[in-house]
Amino acid sequence: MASESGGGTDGALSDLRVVEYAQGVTGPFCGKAFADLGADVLKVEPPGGDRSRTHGPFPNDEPHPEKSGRFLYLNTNKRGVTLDIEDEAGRELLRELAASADILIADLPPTAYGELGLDYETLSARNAGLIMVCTSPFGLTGPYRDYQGSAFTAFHIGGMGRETPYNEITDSEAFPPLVDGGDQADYLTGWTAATMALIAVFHRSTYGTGQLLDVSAMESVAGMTRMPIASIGYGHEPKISREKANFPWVMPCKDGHVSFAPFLMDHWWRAVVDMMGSPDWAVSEAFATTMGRVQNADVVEPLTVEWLMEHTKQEIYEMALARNVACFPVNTMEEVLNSRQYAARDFFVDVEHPEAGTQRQPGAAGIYSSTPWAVRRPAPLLGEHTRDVVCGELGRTEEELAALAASGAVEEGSG
Amino acid sequence: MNNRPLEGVRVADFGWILAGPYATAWLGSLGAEVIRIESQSRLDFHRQNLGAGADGQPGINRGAVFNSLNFSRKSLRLNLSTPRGLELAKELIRHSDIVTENYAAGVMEKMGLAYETLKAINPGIVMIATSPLGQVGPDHAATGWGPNVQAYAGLPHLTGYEGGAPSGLGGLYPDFMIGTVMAFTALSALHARNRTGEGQYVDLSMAAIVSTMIPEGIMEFAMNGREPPRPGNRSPQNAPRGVYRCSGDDKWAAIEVESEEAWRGLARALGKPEWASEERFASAEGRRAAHDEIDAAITAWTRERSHYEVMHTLQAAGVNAAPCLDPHELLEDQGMADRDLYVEMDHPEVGPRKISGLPGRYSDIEAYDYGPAPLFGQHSEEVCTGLLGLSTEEYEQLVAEEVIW
Repeated sequence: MASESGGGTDGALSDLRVVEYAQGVTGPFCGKAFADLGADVLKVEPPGGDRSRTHGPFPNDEPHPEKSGRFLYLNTNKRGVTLDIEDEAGRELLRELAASADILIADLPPTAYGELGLDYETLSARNAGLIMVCTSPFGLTGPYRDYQGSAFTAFHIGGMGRETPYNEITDSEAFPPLVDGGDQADYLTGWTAATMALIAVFHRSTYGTGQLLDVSAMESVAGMTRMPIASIGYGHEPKISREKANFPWVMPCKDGHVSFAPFLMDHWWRAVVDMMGSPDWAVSEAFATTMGRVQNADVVEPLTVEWLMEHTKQEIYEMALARNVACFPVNTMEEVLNSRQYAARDFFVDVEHPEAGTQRQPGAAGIYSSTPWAVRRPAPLLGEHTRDVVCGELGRTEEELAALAASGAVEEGSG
Repeated sequence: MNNRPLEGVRVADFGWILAGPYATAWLGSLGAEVIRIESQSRLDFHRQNLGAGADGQPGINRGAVFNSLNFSRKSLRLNLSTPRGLELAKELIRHSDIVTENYAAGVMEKMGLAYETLKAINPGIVMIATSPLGQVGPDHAATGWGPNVQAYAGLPHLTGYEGGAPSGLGGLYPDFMIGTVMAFTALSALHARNRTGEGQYVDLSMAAIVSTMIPEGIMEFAMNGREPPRPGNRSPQNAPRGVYRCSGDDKWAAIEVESEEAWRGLARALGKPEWASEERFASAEGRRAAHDEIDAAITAWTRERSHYEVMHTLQAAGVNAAPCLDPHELLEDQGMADRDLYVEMDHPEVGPRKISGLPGRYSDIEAYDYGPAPLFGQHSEEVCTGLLGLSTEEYEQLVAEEVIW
């Protein structure tokens, strides 16, 4: 059962207190990295709630602010408070919360911090150890500082769109740079922010001071496109995957696709030749080396596909698994949910929520041997912990809470 | 400079290829002493640099990929298939705080370096093991690289041109992202140890990491029994959204309209102010129904402009827009200029070369404490005769016996 403060007792980060004033994916995913490892994460939402509450999926496709799959997932293990930072009394409550936090995660527009008196200088005056993580599309400085951004535009300006898809395309006019289907720019920026925040915790232990962290989505994405940058530095013109003639990593088979890289390494290729029953064409010396296979891609690839088309992805995967060849099925969501491997690792968790019912969601990617990942509470209802926090932790009386609620500075949950 | 918060932390790095080396690049650049174990008996794929050596010359120390990932560490050559090599690895681990590895599951055990063994040598050790599907489970032996593993996780099923085949993401995704998660995980376990004195083993599944980053698609099926569509650059939420052809050779801009206000801004910028008040365009749903018609108008406008001009003009009109940059453009981009991601590192063999460092800016860390990628075995003698306590004669004997190999 959850402890009073909301944190766990045996998670790796259970001694940390995090305040999160962030919406959408990036900041909340950063907060989740801490919450799932036991930190006490207090999510502060504006009246009306985090915009994720309007983002699907929803059970039976019925939009409801307490039933958004995205919101429920990203905010599991957090407590929730509703404050209006348009109101000075609401801002003051947020400052007080920051005064007792190890980490504050925020995603305001870069110029808003100073305008609202929520800048690092003001907040650290009350808490010298405060680590403040600011996420934004382009960073707190620079010429694009005030520009809008999203997972979609960050993916493209950070250079990943030009490397996606990684299969060759023949007509670059008809096939523009492509975004992924899972808002990865926001999720990976969240991991960058979480890693930096934890680094700052170590920094504080070593040097004694908190600090301001400036996380740019564009830069986080650009950090993923490091291979072509290195190529340029090393005197090679980078090959952009959507333009290059090379082996595709996703190939068709009888009932879908497999992600297959048998051409890369010689021992993988030998195992694949064995999988295919060692046909005459495949045992050719001309294909025995990576270079030989690359130079003869227009022969090797179609003949390999011909064989793949006679087998299902599960058959191919099992054959590859038995031979230590890198090959995975391109899993559908249904197949991901039914993965025997994930089941054996208890990867999916069923989280019971008072409004949304029990919903299955991804759980721990890493199994910790002594400080387990754990679900301690579902995502908070809007304003669920406003009273506990304002009266219990910030010491306001019931009358003061009523006055704050009447003026709109805070909102209490209706539950 | 206050840039060594991990000073005093030692990492025995058994990582290789992509994710493992990137994880320890974070730790080494923050002051940890990272000692990477290498050997001719298990040479890193990227030491072999198939045709990608600096300036076209091959060489074990010249690989662009290797050198741009393996910075901020030492290189110790140890042949782990010899008893003495294994013994020295254990001695190194006895003096370390963290062990990282990203071999296929079971490889460390086969070499005689299972966590239980290491824990007996050093009870406080934190060991982070990263493999395609994790160390336990019926398919734990699966082997592969990040670009394959993302398929198992479900991401390529969601990605691809409308009506077309699934696609993986470029940039060797998700290997570097997974390296970042490994670094976070190592730090979280070290943080716990600093509090409790107890070390631990963390079994990270690369596929599971990616599946934790696509909850919407997974929960869509779990809630409603439906596979999400592959919408290409379009979106089920916002419209219009797309990548549009600009002036110049293969230049493109990404545009996403996220609010009614932004739609009105776009309509005015396109010279179609009447669209701002047209009823059929008053919602994202209505605009999606006319997506092709709207796209044609946007393209007619973007074709006459550079991708940067599209960004500046539309952003001034309140519309989320950005150019689709290629690597050359990223190196020159003004928005990246004060981010310090691109750094010149002076490598002992190939000299100063520009590579990507680590992202993020800190108010109290002026710059990461980068060191160049090591030459193959550059620190073998230093580590053996220093930390591991061998005499110079013993060291030379082990080189002759191909233990230091």
